[in-house]
Amino acid sequence: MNNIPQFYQQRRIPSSAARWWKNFTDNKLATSALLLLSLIILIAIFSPFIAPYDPTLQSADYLLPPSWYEDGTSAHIFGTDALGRDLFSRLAHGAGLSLKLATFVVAIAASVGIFLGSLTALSNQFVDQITIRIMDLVLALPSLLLAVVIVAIIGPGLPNAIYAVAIVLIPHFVLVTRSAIKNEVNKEYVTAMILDGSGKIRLFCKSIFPNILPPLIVQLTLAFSTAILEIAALGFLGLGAQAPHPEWGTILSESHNNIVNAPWTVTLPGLAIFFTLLSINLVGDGLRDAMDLGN
Amino acid sequence: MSKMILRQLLILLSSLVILTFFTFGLTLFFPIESRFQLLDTTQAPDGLVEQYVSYIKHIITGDWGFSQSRGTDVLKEFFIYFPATVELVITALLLALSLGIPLGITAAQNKNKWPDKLVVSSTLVGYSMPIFWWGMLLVLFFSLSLGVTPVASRLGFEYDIIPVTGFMLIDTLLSDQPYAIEAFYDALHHLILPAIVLATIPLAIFTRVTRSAMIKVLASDYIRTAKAKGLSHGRIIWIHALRNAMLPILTIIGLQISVLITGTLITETIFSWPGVGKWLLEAVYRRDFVTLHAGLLATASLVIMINIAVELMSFYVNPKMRLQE
Repeated sequence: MNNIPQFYQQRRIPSSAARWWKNFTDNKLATSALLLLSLIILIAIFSPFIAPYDPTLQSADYLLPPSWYEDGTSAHIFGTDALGRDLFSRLAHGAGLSLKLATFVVAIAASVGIFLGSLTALSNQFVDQITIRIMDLVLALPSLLLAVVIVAIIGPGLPNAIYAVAIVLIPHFVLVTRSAIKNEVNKEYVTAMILDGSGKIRLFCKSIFPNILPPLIVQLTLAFSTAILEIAALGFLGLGAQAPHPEWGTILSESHNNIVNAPWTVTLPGLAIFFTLLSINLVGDGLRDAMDLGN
Repeated sequence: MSKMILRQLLILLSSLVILTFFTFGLTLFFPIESRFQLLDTTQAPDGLVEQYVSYIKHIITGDWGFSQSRGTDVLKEFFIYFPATVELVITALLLALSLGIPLGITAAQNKNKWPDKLVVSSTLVGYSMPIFWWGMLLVLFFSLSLGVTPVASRLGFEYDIIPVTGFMLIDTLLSDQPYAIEAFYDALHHLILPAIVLATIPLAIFTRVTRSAMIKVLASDYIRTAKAKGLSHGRIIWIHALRNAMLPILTIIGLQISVLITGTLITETIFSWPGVGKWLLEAVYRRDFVTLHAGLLATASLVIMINIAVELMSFYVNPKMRLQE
């Protein structure tokens, strides 16, 4: 094979995805964040097998310190909370719960937001301006306050909190989708498609949509971290997941009272939220750089 | 200029009208007894349009209903709690700006060197911090371990300060009690931890925005000219470059106002700070919809007005935009 003379340059041009992946992996910080995030996701998926105890199982060993304390035991690595529940099991199940809920929230918000954003961008000036005004207004409202009011109306509890957070996230997707489409619509490749006689739907699906993916992907990661944070914040305020649920924010608000005699019940759940958010934000930043979107 | 102001006023007006549509829509889901407080109670109008007209009448005349748990006028109650929140928000905003801008400038000047990397990674940490946890950590360390700051509320119980303006820092100084100065320092002590907690996320964002704006400005030709003219380093950075980097910073201040208000809900809960956030959360727990409605409408209109004011300010700061009209 090697004897065949090469008349043309035989370099294969990598696909966009391959280029992004290469740029991303060149960034060491983002790559390690991705590893950390994958670890958290693995823990979340396999939490029923990893967790040594039932997250709601109460025992007489209440407020047991973590194993690295002098009077801690290896039976409860992260210690126990005020009701004697194993903290590690609760946090592991909490990871599953948080990631699952956040995925659900982002899926709702993204599908509604992207749909509305595309409709807005491709409709006439009047509809466009009205939608923009409304979205700007919803964005100007403090997000948590809006979520709190929605929860107050439909009643506290996990499912309602999720809808509230999803509603709050929608405008971001609408605006990002709209501005991305507006950026692409007047480019020459789109004009070429129109001249080739493609229909509106085909034009959108085949030529515009693939090109607005980068900003949407970055927005997805951003929304994912916001969703985790807001669900935890609602849980902390007592408006999201209710007491026995091993939700991170709920765990934190329960342990608020034990902050003096059992500080680990506050620090460990917080660390779980913090590292999850940090890894998602780092991955998002890395993706933004890799896809060359700038700030 | 006047054309611009007129345009912004129109935007303000239309935004407020859309806001009332929105809040009116929310009241449709309220329990009937809360709703009737915002309509003419003597006769409930039939159609939605009549109901909206009645609602708007109530809003404009300042009759926002009475709290269902306390029986007080909610609008008056809002203004009782409002100064405490404003005090907290302004302190946090000043803290975030006074640290964030110099940090961003330092990072931009040392682009890709270690001070820049340190600042950028700290902003990521600050940005990822769940503030309810951050607040508890600070309380754990500064209040419970070191005992240097108080745990909660705005002022120690030993001081009796009559509210005049509602701003504790001003009221303590206005007070004619012999302990006025001590009370002022005590109020400052109480303010510092909540302000730090609230300032964390805006600080991270201001730093990042300042850094990227400064990097862009420092690469421009006029900075090279200024250097060639032999201007001092400080003068170039603080007078020539910062002025042009101010515009994105101003825009982001407007956006951060709603983030700060979101933060007050949590911060005020952790520190038992008697402000609007805590007032609203208590209203949620008591299912006091009239209070909630007033809180949402008042806060949202304020945020909208601040955003318009920021818009006007950025117009004033930017000669390019001024000359375009």
